[in-house]
Amino acid sequence: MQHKKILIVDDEEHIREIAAVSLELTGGWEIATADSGAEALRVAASLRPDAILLDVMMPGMDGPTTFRLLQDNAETRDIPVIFLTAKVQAADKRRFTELGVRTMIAKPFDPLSLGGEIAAALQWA
Amino acid sequence: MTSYRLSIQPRLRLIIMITTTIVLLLAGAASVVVDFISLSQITGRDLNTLANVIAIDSTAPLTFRDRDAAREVLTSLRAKPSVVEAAIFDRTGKPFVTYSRHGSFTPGSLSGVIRTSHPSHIQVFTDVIFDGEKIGTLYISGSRDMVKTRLKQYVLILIGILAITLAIAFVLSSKLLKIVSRPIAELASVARGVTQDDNYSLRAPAPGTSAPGEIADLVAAFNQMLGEAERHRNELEHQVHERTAELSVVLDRNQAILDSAGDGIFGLDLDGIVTFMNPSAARILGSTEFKPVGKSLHANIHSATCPDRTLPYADCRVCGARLDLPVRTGRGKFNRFDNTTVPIEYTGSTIVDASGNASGVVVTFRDISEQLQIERMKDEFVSTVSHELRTPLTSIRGALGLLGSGLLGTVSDRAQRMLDIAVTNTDRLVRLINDILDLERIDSGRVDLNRAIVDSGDLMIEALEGIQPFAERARVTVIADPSHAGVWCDHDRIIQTLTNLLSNAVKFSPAGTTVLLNGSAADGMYTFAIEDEGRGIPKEQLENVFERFKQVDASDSRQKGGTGLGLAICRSIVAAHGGRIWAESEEGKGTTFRFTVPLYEEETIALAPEETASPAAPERPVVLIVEDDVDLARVMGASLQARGFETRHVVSGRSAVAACLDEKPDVIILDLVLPEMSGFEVVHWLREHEPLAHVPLVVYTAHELTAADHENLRLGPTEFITKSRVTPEEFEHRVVGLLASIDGCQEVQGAA
Repeated sequence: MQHKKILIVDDEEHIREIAAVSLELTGGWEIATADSGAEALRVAASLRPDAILLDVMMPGMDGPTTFRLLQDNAETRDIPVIFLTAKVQAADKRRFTELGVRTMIAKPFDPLSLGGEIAAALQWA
Repeated sequence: MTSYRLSIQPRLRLIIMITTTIVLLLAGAASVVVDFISLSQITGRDLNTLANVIAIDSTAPLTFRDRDAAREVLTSLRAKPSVVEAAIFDRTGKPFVTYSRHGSFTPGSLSGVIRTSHPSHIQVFTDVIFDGEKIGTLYISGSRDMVKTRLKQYVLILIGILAITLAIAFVLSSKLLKIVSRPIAELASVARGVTQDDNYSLRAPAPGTSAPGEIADLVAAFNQMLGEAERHRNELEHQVHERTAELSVVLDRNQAILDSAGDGIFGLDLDGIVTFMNPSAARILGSTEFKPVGKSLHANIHSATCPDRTLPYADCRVCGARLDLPVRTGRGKFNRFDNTTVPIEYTGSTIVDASGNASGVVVTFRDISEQLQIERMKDEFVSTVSHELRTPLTSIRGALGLLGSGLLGTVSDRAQRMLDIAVTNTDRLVRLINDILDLERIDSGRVDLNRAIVDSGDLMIEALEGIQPFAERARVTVIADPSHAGVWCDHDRIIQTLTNLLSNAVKFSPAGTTVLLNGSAADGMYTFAIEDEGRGIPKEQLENVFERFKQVDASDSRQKGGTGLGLAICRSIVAAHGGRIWAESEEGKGTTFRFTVPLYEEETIALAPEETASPAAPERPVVLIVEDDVDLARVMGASLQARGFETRHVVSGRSAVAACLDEKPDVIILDLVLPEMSGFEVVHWLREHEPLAHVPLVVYTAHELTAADHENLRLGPTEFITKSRVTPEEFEHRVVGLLASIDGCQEVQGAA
């Protein structure tokens, strides 16, 4: 199986680091990180990752806005996005579903199963 | 009118006078007649006696034919003034001598005298007899004048007596009548005074001692009656005063309540006309100069959620003034008079009159802008706390998890043990935060239940599947005996409740025992039951278990890894559904938790059932409304029906798909946020089923959609309408327009 590239977007440095370590260790994937929505747009366009793990609550450009801008760009439109969220309210879930986001992973996540969850959601064998 | 009548005194007097006169006249007349008759008889007898004496005296002169002597005899009659004339006839009937008091008397013969009788004279004829032989006839004529004179005297006397009698009668009657008539007249005048002046304090004066007993009784009775009437009247007036005072106190108080109430209060009659409105209502609705009382509410104050003012009053959601429901509460928005809207919370109560009929509605409402703002702030706070706590926890949990996994190198057994403890407790802390936030949201009522018709059996099987791995680890058998009924609930929340109760049951069940999940429907509610064979709960703690952080054994929660909030959350969820949760237990034999959820009833969400039930004209286009907000769907349905559409309504994505397979709709109105299948999934599915892939679609959503969303949602001709951005009229217009454009299109195709 080809190495997957995953872009992790979160404004919290520690969370970026832990997510990166756990995905490297459990999935053996190649990891890139971005600390803001704007940075994410740039990295996504140049790196063309196989998936983006996107934090919802970020200062400045938040997750949903970033997602919409990724969708607006033809180069990044087809990259699957997974929301990483501390918000677990049904209303938020509904809102994200309406936006077209299919997968949401709640914070705090279990670092050992994070990779498995992503692979299952994106149907990576 | 009484003035035309004679009053009692003159009348009685008249009667007395007439009676006196008649009696006197009758008596006088009788005496005159008797006197006249007797006088006449006496006169006749006198003349006869006289005639006999004269006849004897005239025997000698007649025998000797001595005329002088005979004349002398007759002349003696002069002493009798009543004798008018006399004559002596000889044997042959020739006059021998004659006598007349006035002038001359020269009769031709006796027979001539007999023939010429005079009506006013009494005539007496006597034979003159000598020696047994009739030698002549004596004739005397007496006048009746004396009788007449007597008669005249009598009449005069009678008139005199009459006059005197009447005078006496008048004087006497006047005195007499006063005794009787004065009290009656006074009585009458008092009665008039009472009726005319409404003065019940008047009393008739007591009649004198000379008055008859009946009159005295009458006056006394009259005065007593008057006294009674006065007493009653005073009492009545007093009562009226009292009641009026009481009423005005109540009215003043009610008015003061209405005026001072911070809540807006207004009343409607059955036609929707505003019957009253308090100052707060006017202020909240922004009405200072406009006076809505007496005007139609429907045309002036309008719920912002009611899209069409042409809706019949009974269907209008304004104030929830549904007359078939005794009380209706809810939240909504009212249009103010300046066309802005104000968020409100209202209660509409039907006014029921004494005979049990609805006579109107009282609506109480309050401006909840501030409350909503506070709720928003609280939500924001909760959301922030949730985020701020989770962020460091995420790092801690992640770091501990990675360390504990051994992927970063092995540690000593004791260090590993410490790491496991840290991971377990971090997980518990996360659950605790989640549960606290969840409970807070449900209890504050700010979690909108996403209700739909859900099959009870499906719920049980889903919950069972979710719990199975955990139960297997605990070596507890979980069996579901699902019964199928449509329940009206939030799917996710009921699953959460079932899962919670099942995991509790498993936790407290010894290995090798069985947990049974079943349910039954009754009285509009569906009851779920979760039975375990655990150690049971003491009776006195059956209620406590639903309290926060209250478990049978305080150490339980830590041992079993619970937060102590699970049952409290279950209770809150069930309560939010309008159901009830309770536990039954026999210590040592197990516990049964039961909770109820309302069954779906036709009228709960059915759209104008009378209309949809009747076979529709085949030309009527069918609109499928896929919308989980039942009230909104009802309103849309009503306005589209008014436009001549046939409407179907479903509340979930899955039932939308089923409805499309049943009958291909002419237009689909699709909400995106739906239970079971989202709008995106519905469109995706429809695209893959050819006959449905080109159905005109109206996407009606509360959220902004991107270009990509538009691509993903396009079916046939598709309109995108954002909720709350579009007026109801515009919405309707666009649905109608969409269909019209398609109809036109089909016609062109048909012609080609």
